[in-house]
Formats: sequence, C-alpha cells, structure tokens
Amino acid sequence: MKDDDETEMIIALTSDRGLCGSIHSSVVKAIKARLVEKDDAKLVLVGDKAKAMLQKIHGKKVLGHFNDIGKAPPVFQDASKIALSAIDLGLQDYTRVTMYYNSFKSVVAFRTLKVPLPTKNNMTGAENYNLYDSIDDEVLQAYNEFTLATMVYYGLKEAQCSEQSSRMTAMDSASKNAGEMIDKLTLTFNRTRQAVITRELIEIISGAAAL
Amino acid sequence: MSSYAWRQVGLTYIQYSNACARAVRNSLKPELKVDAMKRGNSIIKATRWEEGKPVQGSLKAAKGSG
Repeated sequence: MKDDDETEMIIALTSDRGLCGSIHSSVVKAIKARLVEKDDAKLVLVGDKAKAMLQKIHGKKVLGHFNDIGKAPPVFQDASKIALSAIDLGLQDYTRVTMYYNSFKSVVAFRTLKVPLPTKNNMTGAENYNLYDSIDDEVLQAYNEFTLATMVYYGLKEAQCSEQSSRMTAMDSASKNAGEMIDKLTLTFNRTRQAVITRELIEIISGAAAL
Repeated sequence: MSSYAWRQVGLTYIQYSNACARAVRNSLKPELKVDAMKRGNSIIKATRWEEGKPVQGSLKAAKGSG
C-alpha cells in the first residue's frame, strides 16, 4: 500500500510546567489519535509534559526530546536548536513532517493545530515549483533550513501565548471556586457552632429545671 | 553560485544566520547591547533517545553556543 512507504516525523510543542488547564493534554491527544492511524511515525518531543505523557506507551518512537522550555519566553535561538536537532535526527529523509502546537485564539480559548513543515524534497516536489526560474539547489537548502527554524519559532511563540492565557484562566477559576467553597463552609461552620451552643444551653436549662 | 564557504566547513544556514546575529549583537552600542544579548541566550537542552530511553549523548544543537 502506498502508505507504507511514507515516513512521518511528528514534532510536539509543549512545555515543562503544569497548572495550565488542558494545554498539554490536548496536544498529546491529537498526537495519540494520529499515532493510531500511522503507527510507525517518529516523535520529537519539546517539553517535559509531552515526554511524561508519551514515553510509557510510545517510548520506542521517540527520537529526541527537549526540556527547560517554558521558563523564559522563547527566542529564535531555541527554535534554531530544535530545527538543527530535527535535521540531525534525519528530518530531511522523512516524507512528511508535522508540528503539533496550540494556537492562540483568545484569552479564554486556544486551538490545537498541526502544520506541515517543509523538507527539501517537499519543496522540490511542490506543485508551484515550476513557476520559478532555475532555483539554485544551494539556495533552496538554505531557505529550507531557515524556514524550518522560523516555523518552529512561530509554533513556540503561539504555544507559549496559549499556555500563559490558559494558565491565567485556570488559576482564576481555581481561586474563584476556592473562594465559593470557603463561603459555603463558613456558613456550615457557623450553623454547626450555633447548634452546639443551643444544645448545651438546652441541657443546662433542662438540668437546672430538673432540680 | 558555487558552494558557500560556510556550507563547505559543515555549517547549516541556521548556524550561519545565528553566527551573523551574534556578530551584529556584539557590535551594538552598550545601551542597546544589554537587551540584545538576552535575546541570544537559549537555555533549552536537547537529549537524543534510543530504544525508548534517553541517552546521554547530546544532539548537535546543545553544542551550538547561545
């Protein structure tokens, strides 16, 4: 079947830190769904959260992982390192390379998207390639490498933005829920306290009345 | 255009571009240099995996400066 010849590399963009709602689990869920369709895809994991969630079952598919993500805003140097490592791990030999990340929709909403990353073969095989006059192979390779780093940088920025806003909403609703719980429990506490006092009074009074 | 000098010594375009960026940052005036140098620092670490286990050998990326 044609599908058997195609190899796929999946790059997952998450981070190291939690308390951010369903950010990491939604990226991992999308990847797991893809792994059901394509069992022999290989993984490059960015962030400890993705590693923790995927290493048990799909550990054999992992080519490499990155950590110390999420502590500081991503810089182009981070994206360069990821792109260079991916190339080092053989990105240019894969038929398809997909990057899964969270795209920022609004402060309260994000979407998990996947975007295809270009390999050199994808570029030369593209439909509109013939529209361009004699592209130098050297230039194409340089452009391809740079595009990889740029797209990873874009993914990192979007992912971090979604994560920060998701963390804010998650913590906000957690604080609000905790506040409501405190109010409810305070009422119960007061009610119980008053009931105990009333019971003691009744015992004392009935004891005194019995004398 | 024949092969680039940096390609011949084994660099990729990304490494070449980062080296140029470093040079530009180093040549800035002191007030602007402080902020720019922060943009050059990257703390992320890469680990290669083999057979489902991380292996100590770092990937090429970790050797790159920044």
